[in-house]
Amino acid sequence: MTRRDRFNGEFDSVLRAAQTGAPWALERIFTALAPVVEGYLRVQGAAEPEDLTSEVFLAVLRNLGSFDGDEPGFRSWVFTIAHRRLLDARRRAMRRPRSAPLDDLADMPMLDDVEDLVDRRLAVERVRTLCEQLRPDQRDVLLLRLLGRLTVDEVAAALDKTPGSVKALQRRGLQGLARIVERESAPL
Amino acid sequence: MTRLPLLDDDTIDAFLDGEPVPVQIRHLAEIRSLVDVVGDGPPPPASPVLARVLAGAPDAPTLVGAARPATRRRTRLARVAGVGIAVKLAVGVSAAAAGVMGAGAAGVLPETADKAVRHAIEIVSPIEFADTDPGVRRGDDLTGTSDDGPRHGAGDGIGTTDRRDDGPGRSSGDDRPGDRDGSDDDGERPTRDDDRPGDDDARRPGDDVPESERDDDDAGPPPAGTGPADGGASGAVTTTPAPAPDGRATPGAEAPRTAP
Repeated sequence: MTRRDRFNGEFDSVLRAAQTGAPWALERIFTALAPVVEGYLRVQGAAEPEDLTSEVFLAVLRNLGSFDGDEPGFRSWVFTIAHRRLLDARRRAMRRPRSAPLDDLADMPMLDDVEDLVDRRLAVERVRTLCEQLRPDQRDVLLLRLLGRLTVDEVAAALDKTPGSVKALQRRGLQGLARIVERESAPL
Repeated sequence: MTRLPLLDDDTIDAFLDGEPVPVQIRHLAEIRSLVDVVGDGPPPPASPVLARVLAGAPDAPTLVGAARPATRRRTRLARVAGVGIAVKLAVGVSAAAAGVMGAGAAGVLPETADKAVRHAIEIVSPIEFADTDPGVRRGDDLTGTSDDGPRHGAGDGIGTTDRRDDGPGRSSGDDRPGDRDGSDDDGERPTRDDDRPGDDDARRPGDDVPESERDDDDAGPPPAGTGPADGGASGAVTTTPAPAPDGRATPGAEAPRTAP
């Protein structure tokens, strides 16, 4: 599970420094996890993913002193906050509908490499299009598992579900995705 | 179209860990690579507040903490919004009823509404306005139009019960206590509301003489079923000594009541 470690094995020292308020450590946490959090929020259809990402990390850094755990636990904690902020943002959006379309990707951050920018835009759009065809709870489970790299138990805690229901949702979600992609690739 | 295999937990874990997947679900590998791209890249620009926090600005925690009250307000609003519509309606109706009752008890409602509210309060509670609060309003009625001959019979109705107590013979046979206990709802005396001035007469015997005489004219016979027992109850009701606005003592009004 080396893919899960975005701190190159230095998470403990980074966390300790961040808990003392060291700017370099705070920046390191933000740099390591903000891209994937923003990607999660963007694929989930957040209206303002960048602002929401800032809100998430404000909450994370504000409560950093109370966290005690390892890198997977920290990642799970961050994604739990992100998911709850996403739900709050959706409730706000329902009360105050935006005039601009929600799927506008024009505000994607500018990357130095244009190819990376295009690749990321296409990937976000593709994953989002696929996930929109799933049930919301299946989408939540799959994205937290795939993007957040949360375990079944961590997803269950984040979504207030049982591990069994999370397993069932991820199974049905993956089968649904496979079916959708297979149907799209089938010759007419 | 090939039939998709049933994904077991091991297959799913292998897929999530980046291991090769069965050929039947090879398309999922594409999704996994797409998701990896989504999670890569530079971090988004931080908001001004977050930028200050990341820079370790000393005022940053204060700015961050300032956002908390809004969250609490939202929580409280969400809690209220989560209550069922029936509960909201019940709370609203209760609040409105309490407001009307309070206004009626304070005597700030219009005359007609005041009568109805006071009457309702008397029925559902042991409070009796005629005895406990001779009040400025009553005094106004008495000194003003209530006791006048021309106004007699067109009164407001609150005092009908006490008004009958004016006459010695009437008080015992009256349905005053019955009225107070709710027997006024029996419909036997539809004009009951018309003789409110008599209510004040009970506390001012001196004024009652002409009033009671006139009262006899429009009061009609006492309802069946009322008797001396009612009169005794009536006397019990009017035991509160209250000075009349004109300075005459109230106990004088009780003598006729207790006399059969």
